[in-house]
Amino acid sequence: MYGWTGKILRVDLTQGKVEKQSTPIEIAHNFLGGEGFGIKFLYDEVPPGTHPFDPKMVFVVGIGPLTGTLAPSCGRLEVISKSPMTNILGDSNAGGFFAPEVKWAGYDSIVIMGKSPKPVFLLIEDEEVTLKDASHLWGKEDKFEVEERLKSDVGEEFQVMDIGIAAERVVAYSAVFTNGVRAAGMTGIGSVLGSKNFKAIVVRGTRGVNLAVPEKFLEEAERCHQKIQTSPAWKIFSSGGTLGVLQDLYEGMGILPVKNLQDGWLPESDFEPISGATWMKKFKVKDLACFGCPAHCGHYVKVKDGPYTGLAREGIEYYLHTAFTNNLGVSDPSFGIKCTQVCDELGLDGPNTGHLLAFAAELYQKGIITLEDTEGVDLSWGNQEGFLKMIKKVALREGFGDILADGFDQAAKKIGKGADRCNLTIMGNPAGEDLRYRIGAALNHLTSTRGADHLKGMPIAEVVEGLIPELDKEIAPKVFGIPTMHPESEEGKEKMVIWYENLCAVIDSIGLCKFTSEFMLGLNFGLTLDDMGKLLTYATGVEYDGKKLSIIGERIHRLERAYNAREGVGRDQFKLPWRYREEEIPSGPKKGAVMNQEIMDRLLDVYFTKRGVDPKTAIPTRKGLEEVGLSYVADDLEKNGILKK
Amino acid sequence: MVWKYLVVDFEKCTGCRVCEIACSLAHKKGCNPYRSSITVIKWEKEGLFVPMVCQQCETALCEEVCPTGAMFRNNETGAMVIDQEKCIGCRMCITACPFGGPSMDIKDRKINKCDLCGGDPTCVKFCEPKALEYILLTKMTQLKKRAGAKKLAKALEMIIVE
Repeated sequence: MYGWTGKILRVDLTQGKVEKQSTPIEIAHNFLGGEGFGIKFLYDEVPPGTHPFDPKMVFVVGIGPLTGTLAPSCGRLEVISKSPMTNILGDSNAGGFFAPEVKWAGYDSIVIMGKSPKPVFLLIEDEEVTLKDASHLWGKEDKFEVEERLKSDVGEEFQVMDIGIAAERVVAYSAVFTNGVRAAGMTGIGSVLGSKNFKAIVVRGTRGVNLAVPEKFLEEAERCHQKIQTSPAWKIFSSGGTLGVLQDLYEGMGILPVKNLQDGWLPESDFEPISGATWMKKFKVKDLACFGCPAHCGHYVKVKDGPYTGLAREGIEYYLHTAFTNNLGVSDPSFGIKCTQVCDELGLDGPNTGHLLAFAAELYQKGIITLEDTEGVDLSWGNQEGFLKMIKKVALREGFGDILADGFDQAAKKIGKGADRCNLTIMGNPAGEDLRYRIGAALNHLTSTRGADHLKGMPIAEVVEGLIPELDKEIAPKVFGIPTMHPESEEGKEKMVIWYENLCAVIDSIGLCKFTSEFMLGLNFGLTLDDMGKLLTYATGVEYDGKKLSIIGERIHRLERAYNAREGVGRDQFKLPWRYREEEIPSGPKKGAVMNQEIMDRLLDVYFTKRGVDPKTAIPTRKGLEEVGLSYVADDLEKNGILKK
Repeated sequence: MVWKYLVVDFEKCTGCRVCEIACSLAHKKGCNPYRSSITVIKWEKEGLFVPMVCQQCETALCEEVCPTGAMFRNNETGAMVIDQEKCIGCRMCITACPFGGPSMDIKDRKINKCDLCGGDPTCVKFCEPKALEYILLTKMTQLKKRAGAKKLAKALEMIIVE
């Protein structure tokens, strides 16, 4: 095989055995890798209703056919399992340098199942794969110390994927990390590894990737690297990253998360200290990149004043900053860096933790919880000390932290007293974006197969090209077949969401990064599915083009929808959080904005129909599944009583 | 012959390692950092990344130590290159070099070494932050002085620097 390695690692933790399986060619060609493999294995191998922490649950480490090659930005890691927070598909994606090393060691995927009687880690040196004792690494509150220990034992050139103490204690916001600081955290499936007593994968790969047509691949890779740099968004994105772009953009648009998204804007004097521009000037030292990436949207930062002086590290990006500053009423711009450091030490997902604190702080503000409930931890807006204490309590499941530790919906239920009005989840996953203004973004957060999230296909063009009339007029009909992409326009928005979702599913399956694709860099400026098709063709020797890839994206999405349906998701769960439906944005440029659930329902009806799903039940139809070669899934859904015969 | 020099400005390096893969793909037809002639040494915690590659020394210790004359100067490019017919794989060049310029290929056990791609280095083409540049001596000697002068002028706020 070319592109693919032809081998999948199967780790049975109950038996303590590792097996090498040949990568099934049909699955490779039709599901690509990464997320595609992940949902295929999850659907096929885990019985419906299995608890995320049951030994029968699988955890898939997803690698793509383009991972570790010269394709731009081909270092991303995709992890797939079932989320303890949502009880539906749990998947997440992170950068760094771990995925290419697994590919060079010779594996298209690592499937972890069972449960180890004692803590273990997996050591991979090309063909040599062994489970090793990790008892001396377990129960440590500083994940960085564990990583240093591991690397000093095996060698600096090894790459590490690991979990922290939060995952060991199966906290629902636990991430899986690469390079210590790159977190695959959304949906909290680090906890699945924790439940399996599985601490880390440590890998070195020297076998490289074989390509079908190396010379043509080199030419195509060079063209793609160059193409990315011609994007108009290139200059600010490659030097500012998401923080340099989104923080100030959202404030300007009036959809900045403020105090658990109770508001969408800050007066200038309050915003200036925590603006993206201020942050860059104060902290940024240099650009950092993930593997193979010319966009280097990462930063190396140094904190030179304030209570966290001396902190120097990689990071942070928009969601971390916004979740720990404006969304918590904090005015110290270094607080996001500090909280990220603490979350990385404990193994928590940063943005989820920030949103959890905002949720708790709003409960505290409204008197739904008191100092007595929090064991004396003051969760007033802006109280950095209180937030830092609570982060630790959550990670270690201490006191009130334990009540918060199982998920937003779970916490809201336990607390009661109107807590659910402060809860911003869809199917249990928190919506970190203000959804009261952008119709496409709101729809995408509802249709996301892992619950509320922007990275499954938020139509960014809505607020970029969609707000520039000359571009909108030209692009909207040509690319999407709709009159306008404007965020407040309803017509045909489902087409935009479907287009973006299929794009994202492909990218997360072949090993590339959304941020150098059309998703982030602008329509036809970042890599398109056609560009990716060319790279794949020369890498694998199998013909791919944009159209074929779009169908595969459709197939992957429909399998994910089927999985969620089989886990019991019904149409009634496609509802916006209370705040976005009922509370208007109180101030700023979007004062008065609120999202109409009726618009969402209309769009969902059309969306589901186009996706081959019954709009009344949100269950895939037989026809919809057979259209994408998934008739066995229709049979399975019938057998499980989900689909009526 | 007017030679150009492969110059590394490590402060510009973002640590992406594209150079390693570009090199291995251009020379070995596969994507494998262990078959590359350039390696980025990284200290992730400190944010320090140093691309290490053959310096094509004026007095090349690898050439002096080579027992068979396999290591010789390409007069077109100025690069120290290896005649693989004469090379016996003794690895003394690796021992003699202070910088880890040559290395042994993980797959074919031949000695890998930067040959400047015959005068059109592939790694330079792929280095977006321009940490790797291929420039004339006349430009190279002034680079550090110019960069230092810029810092001074900026500190004195006498020029506008991006």
